[in-house]
Parts: sequence; C-alpha cells; structure tokens
Amino acid sequence: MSFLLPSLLGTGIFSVLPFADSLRRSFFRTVSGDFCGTENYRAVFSNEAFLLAVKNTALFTAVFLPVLITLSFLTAYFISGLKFMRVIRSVLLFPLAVPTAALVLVWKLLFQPAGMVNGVLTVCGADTVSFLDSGAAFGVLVGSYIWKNLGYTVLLWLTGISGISSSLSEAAKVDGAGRLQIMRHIILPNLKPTMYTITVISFLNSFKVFREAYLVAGAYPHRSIYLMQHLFNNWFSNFELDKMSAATVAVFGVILAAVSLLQRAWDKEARA
Amino acid sequence: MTKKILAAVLALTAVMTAGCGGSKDNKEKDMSAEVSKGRYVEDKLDFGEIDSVTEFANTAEVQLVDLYRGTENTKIHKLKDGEPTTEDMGANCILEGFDMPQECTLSPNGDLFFSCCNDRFDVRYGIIRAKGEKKQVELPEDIMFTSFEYAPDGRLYGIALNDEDSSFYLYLIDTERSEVTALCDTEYCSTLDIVGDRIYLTDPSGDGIKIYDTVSGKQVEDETLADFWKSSMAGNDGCCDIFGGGDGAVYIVSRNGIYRHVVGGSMVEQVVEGLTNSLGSANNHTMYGTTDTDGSFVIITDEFEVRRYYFDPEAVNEFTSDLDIYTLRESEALMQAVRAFAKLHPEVRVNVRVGMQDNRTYDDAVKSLTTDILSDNAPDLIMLDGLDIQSLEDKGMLTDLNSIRDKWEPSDSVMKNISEWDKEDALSCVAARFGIFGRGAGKEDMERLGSYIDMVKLTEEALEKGEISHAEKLDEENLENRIRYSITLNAGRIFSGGTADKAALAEYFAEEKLLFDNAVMVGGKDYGMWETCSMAAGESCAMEGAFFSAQELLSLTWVDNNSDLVYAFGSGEGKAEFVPVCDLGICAAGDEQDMAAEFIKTALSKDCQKANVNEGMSVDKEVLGEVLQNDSMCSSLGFARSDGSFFAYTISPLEDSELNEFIDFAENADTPVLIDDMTRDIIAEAAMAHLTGDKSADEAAEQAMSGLELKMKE
Repeated sequence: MSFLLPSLLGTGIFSVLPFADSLRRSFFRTVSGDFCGTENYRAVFSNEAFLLAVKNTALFTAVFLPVLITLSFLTAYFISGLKFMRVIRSVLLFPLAVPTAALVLVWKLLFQPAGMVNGVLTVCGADTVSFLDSGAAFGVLVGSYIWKNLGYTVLLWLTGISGISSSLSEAAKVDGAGRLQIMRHIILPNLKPTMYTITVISFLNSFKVFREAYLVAGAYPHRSIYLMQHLFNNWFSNFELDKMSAATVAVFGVILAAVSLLQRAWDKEARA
Repeated sequence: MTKKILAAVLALTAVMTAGCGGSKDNKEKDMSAEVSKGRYVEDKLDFGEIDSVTEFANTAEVQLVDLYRGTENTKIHKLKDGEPTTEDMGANCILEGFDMPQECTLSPNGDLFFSCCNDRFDVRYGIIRAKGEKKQVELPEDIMFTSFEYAPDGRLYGIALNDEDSSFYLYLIDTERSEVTALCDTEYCSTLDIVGDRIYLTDPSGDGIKIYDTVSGKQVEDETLADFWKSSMAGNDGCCDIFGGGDGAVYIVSRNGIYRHVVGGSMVEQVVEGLTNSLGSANNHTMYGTTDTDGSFVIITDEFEVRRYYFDPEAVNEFTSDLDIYTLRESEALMQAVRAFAKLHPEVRVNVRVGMQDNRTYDDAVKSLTTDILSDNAPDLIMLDGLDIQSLEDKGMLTDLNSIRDKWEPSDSVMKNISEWDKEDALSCVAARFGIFGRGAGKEDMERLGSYIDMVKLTEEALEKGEISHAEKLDEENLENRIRYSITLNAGRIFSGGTADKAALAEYFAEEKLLFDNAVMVGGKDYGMWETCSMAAGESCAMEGAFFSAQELLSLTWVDNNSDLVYAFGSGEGKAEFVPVCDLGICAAGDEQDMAAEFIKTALSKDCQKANVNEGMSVDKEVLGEVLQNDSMCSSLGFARSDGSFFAYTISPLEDSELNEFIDFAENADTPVLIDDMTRDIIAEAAMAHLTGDKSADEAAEQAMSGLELKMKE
C-alpha cells in the first residue's frame, strides 16, 4: 500500500479535493456564499441550455461509442495477421500525435463553405453543404473524433487479440470452423476484458471532445454540437459557478452510475 | 500501517478542504511609520506658440528649434533659469526655390544646419551661422538624409537611405568642404541620437538598436541596452528618444517612462514611470527629450506640449495602499482618470490589469477575471465596457453605488441621464464618457433619413443614378472593424424588444452587403468622422454614424455651415440614443471600496473631464461646452477620394446656438446603447459569413440567432 502513497496524494490533492470543493459549492450561492440547498440543482435541471448540452453529449456518446468499438475491432481483427506490425502500430498512433489546433485547421480547410469538400461537391454538380454551421457539424465531429481515437483503440484490441492462444483458433479450424465462427465463438468471448477496458476508456474520452468543437466554432457553436463542456466553459466565464458545480456533481453521478453498471455486468459475466 | 497511511491522507484532505473558501485576510498596514519621500513629479511648461519643432539641441542648455513653416524667421525656444524664452534666429530655414523647411539641428556653437525642399520634394541643405549668415551647403544630390544631428564636439552626423541596397548609412557631414563620409551601414535604423562619443541608431518600430563609437570609428555592442530595447521599446511606434544627462549616462524616454543606463553597466533602471503621468498618454505621444542643467527632464510631445519632470524631495513615494483596476482593453479615458487620481493620491499605487492584452481573446480575459475573483484577488474597480453588465449585476458582483453616493457624488453639471444610465433597481456603474449617433444628408433627402435603413435606401438610389462614386472595397481586417462599429449603430433595431430579432438581423446583414459590394463603406478608426468626410467629399449621399470625440462631433456640425448638406443628432425617428463609455463599477469582492469610489469621483471631476480623448466626450456639460467652443478645436481634415483627388476642410468650434442644441439633445438622451463583446462577436461572425458570400442573409441571421439564443438560455 505504501507504494501507492505518492499517486494517492496526487489524486487526493488534484482530483478529490477540487471535486469536494465543487460538491460544497453546489449547495451555496457563488457571490454571497449563502447556503441555498438544492436550488442550484433545480436551476440546472430546468436550464434549457443544460438540457440541450446533455442531449447532444448523450447522443454523441451513443453514436460514437458503438461505431468506434465496432470499427476498431473489425480493423484490428483483419490486420492482426499482417506482417510489419511495428510499422502498423506507429501509423495507428499518428492521429493521436496530431495537435488539436492543427487538426482544426485541416477541418476548416476541408469543411468550411469554400473548403475542399464543397469544392468537390460543386464539381460533381451537387449543392454545397454548410458542414460547420448546420446539423452536419455533428457528423463531422463524430467522424473526426473516431478518426482520432481509432488507431489507439485498434492497438488495444490488437493487444487483446495477441493474448489469445493460437491453439484455440487452430483447434477450431481443425474442427471445421470458419473465420466468422472463430471470431464469434473464440475471439470475442476471450476479448471481453479488453472490451470492458475499451468501453470505459472510450466512454470517458467521449466527454473530452470539447476542444475541437470550441476551436472550430467558438463558445456558441451550432446547436447540434453544443456540448456540456461548452456550457461549463461559458458558465465559468459568466461566473455561474454554483450552477457549474451542481452540473459537475450531476454529471459525475451519471458517469459513476454508468461505470458501476458496466462493472457489475462484467463481474456477473466473470462469475458465470 | 495501511490504516495509518489512509488516516493521514484523509486528515490532510480534511485540513485542506476546511481551508478552502475561508474568509479573506484583512490587510493591516502599519500607518504609524514615517512615510518615505522624494520622487519625480510632472510639471507643464508654457513655451508659447510652437509651430513645428525638431529634436532638442545636443547642448547643456535646453533649446528647441522651431522651424515656423513658412517665410517667418526660425525661432529657438529655450529654458533660461527654468523659465521658457524664445529667441529669433534672424533667418529662416529655406533657400531660393526651396521654400518648405524640413529638418534642422542646432550645434553647440549656435550654428543651425537645415534641410528644405520644393513642391517636387527635391531637397537642399543650408546652414545658418550663429552670426545670422545663411548659406547653402552643397551635398551630393543622390544622398537624401532622413535625419541629422550635431554631436557635442560640433561634428555633424546624418543618416541617409541608399537606394541601391535599400539600407541606411551613417555619414559624417563636413559643411565647410561640402563633403560626406560614409561611416557604417545602419541597415534598418533610420534615426540617430548622439550622446557623448556614441551614436545610437534606432528604427521607428523600436525593434532594434545599434551603437557607433565615434572615437574608435566602429560599431560597438551594449547587450544590456539591446535586451532592454527589444523587451521594452517594441510597440512604441517611434514614440521614444535617447538623450544624455550631465552625469554621462544615457537616458531613454518612451510611453513606459524615463530610463537611465550607464554605459558599460548591467542594468537599465526606471527613473520616472509612465503609467501615472502624461508620458503614458496614448493621445499625446512623447517625441523628444533632454535634460536641463538642474537634472530635470524636459519632454516635448507630438502635440507640442512641453513637460518637465523634476525631483521633488517632499513628494510622497511610498505606497500605503493599492487600487486594482480591471479593464478588458486599454483605454485612454481610463488612463486619464488614473493619472488624475495618482496626482491626487500619490500614496495609492494604481494597478491597471488589461484583460485582452498580448492577443488574448475575450474568453481568456473574462476567465482570468473570474479566476482572480475566485482566488481572493478581485479588482477593486472594473471598467465594464465590453462586459455583460446585466450578468454581473444579476450575480451581485457590483456594489450598489447609490448606497455610497456621498463618496463619489459628482458636481451638478454632470449629466446624470447619461452618467447614471444604469438606473434599474440598483446603480451598478457610472459612465465617465459618452458618444452619440448623428446623421447627415442633402437638404432634400434629410426628411427621408430617419434610420440606418433609410440611409441605405438613399445610397442605393444614388448608386443607380450614378451620383456617387465607388472606392475600393474594405480589406478583411477593416471590414471586421467596420462591422463591429455598425452593430452599435443598429443595436436599437436588432434588440428592439429586448431580445434579438431575426428579421431585423437579416435586414441589417442585407444592407451591409449592399454597402460593402458597392464599396460605399469607409474604413478608419474614427468612423463617424470618416463617414462625414466621405459625404462632404461627395463619395456618399447620406450617413449615419457614431461620434465619440469633440473633433468628430465638429466634423458633423461643419456640414451645415459649409455645404448644401445638413445634419441632425440622433439616428432618427425621434430616438435619443447615446453610448455610455468608460463605465466604472466597484467590484463587491474588492478590498478598497472607498478608494474605488474616490476614483470614480476623480474620473467625473472637471479636471479629468477636460482631457481630450477619442473614446468619448465629457459627461460634464460645462466642460463639454468649453471643449466644443475652444479655438484649439480648429483643425484640418482631409479625405482621399476614389479618383485620387484630395478633399480638405477645416472644422471650427461650435457657435452658441449649435452648442445649446447639442447640450439640449444630450441632456434629453434617454436610450443607452450597449452591447457586450460576446454578443457583438456572435453577430459580427454571422455578418462576415454573409458579406463574404458564404451564407445568405437569412442563413446568417439564423446562425446569429442560434448563438444568441444559446447565450440567453445559459
């Protein structure tokens, strides 16, 4: 236990302590410091901007997570037998190394009204699309975030796949199993621990998509990409720290519940 | 062991949590100690009428040569025993056929070397001897000196541009033999200042400094000075000078203050700081400086104000308290108040924090203010221009000024309808300056000019008839600035019901596109004045503009007296709008509430209100009247037409009837127009999308509405 002390101290000071302060602030008014009970929570849950941000964030997670997990697994499965894995691993990590600001510049080059994508559409005779100032912004955000995280997630899958004994697959082949059957009955069951890790990490990462949206569209983007972090950013600027604290505690509760449910489901599986 | 470690961590966490949100420490200052005295103070010198001066002479005595552009004799303004006097040179700085004097320099023995030119800008040089004899100095015609100066030893040096390699060169000029000797390549440095045996070569942007040693005949290095120059002089826009003192040190004056550097020394020390005196003025730039025989500093500005900075042993130099002021942007109006306050309260150190400096965004600036307030480092006073005042009021972050009215109450001549515009519920802020809207058109069109839309319609008609000419379209930077300005003009109709109106936004965007596409928009910092100039010059047929300074207002009133055009105050339809500027509010979380109230009182005082700033006019009607009827307001304005011709006119002070009309309008102004920066940015971004053709007016309005609604819902 003593070897955990430095990390524990760090987590205590830089994570637990600030959260405890947020929890305290969620029951007090910001300027006067008066206790106000659950008034802040009521204000948050009845705030239209908060509800919109929650809806968009939930939608983003609901779309991004399954697509990322599925796509990354399939990619990992099909490239797992290839040669030059070292080179492939480096290439897969490349999107993570690209600075967000540079990525945003590329976004703008591609997707702004006079950008390259609209240029191609125009050449093909189609109407231009306002990718960053319409509902299409959501699709661009999801696509961009999947592109960024795909490589890393594929690597996690590859690590899991490489941990499965090849004798299992070979035995199945001898028994006449096809590739799909091997994937369904041997690979996937053995990858459940990896899937759990990837799901939790990707779920938590889905709340960090703010940077890209903020750099492209500012503090007040199109409604479809107005996320919780936008709201928190603006509340901080406007000194709405009481509401921000209440919303933080609420979001923490949701994430904790989701991860706990996942953990419980996993434990059930493990016992079975 | 594990339990002990866990207990220790929990205890530490509990201790640190209990420490959060604790009460502020009360700062107790020991007032019983003797206050330290002795510092430099500022004084104004009256040299009488100054027409056109160049640099101070490199002599022990303070001497300033006044070229008196024209055929009158050149004069020398001197300080004798601390008193200003003026002597006639007995000759003028022109030669036959070259009647426009340019530059001059005075030698220690009284000789005056000068340059003059003709209307084709051919340059000639001459010298006026101390005895009054004038003769031409024949110098090579291919060398055109940009500046020259006599050294203390009587030798004359100059800098000229070499056309072949576009580099500047330092020359030694022999006026007896009419010879020049190239000494070194100064690259981009086009200005020289001579102190002792060293020539300091600088460039106007303040990027670099080179030093030439006249004894060794070589360039020398001074790392300390070079580092200082790079860090402190960049951005001064040429408003700096180097001169010597009797102590052998080098002195540098700029907006930041007066600095002293001993040659070979390892530091550059600040002797006089610029923030709390006129050195830091954004309007009245420091041009040249010198030292007097008593060690005081004499500075002249580009508006020919001469000031002296002398050491007063009785002046308090110890700060007993701090006053923290926060502002989103640099503001000359605020700095005038800071200077006035610092004079009255030398024991108070005034710290001005500028949120949006060093290219920081509005978001960053506001977040840093929030962080400061949260960390018990709240400013005492906030200049609220650009901030969401309503939001700050709603959260109780601003002190109700009504509760401490006795501490800041201004004189009766301050127009309370303007300065105390924020009267709903509590009085959260006071405006120290203001601007108004005005409109102008031909006599026949004026009846139809009731709003911005009418102005655009009149412009459209004039374009169809070919009655107005087209200028170049604004570039992107000027267009963005222009949009931000016109949003203020149209704020009334965009937010007519208290919230943004989509149809009004779409209409506004369409009108701006028409003006932009037909190049009827004007650029430039003083939009109201430029709009008037454009109309007076025939480049536009009607105008609606905002006017924030006395000079701008006089440009509007000029049209009535001097052309077929007429003007009116206000934007039309009986609206009496005004724009509160320099809104000062006291932060409820600040420590020095009383001092902040005192600052507001100073900002509204007549002395402070008299300062002429471009950001807003005085809210004191007596001061306003004095300023608008002051003869010094006479000045020439010019406008370059699109066909290359130049239109010039001279504005003059208001007549009594005009002044009464304006004061009457101001006293009855009842509609404050204010937009915070975030709202303005949302609308401006949408407007740009339409003006650049990326979106239609309706789509741009939709975009703006989406952002504004989100902002409102938060």
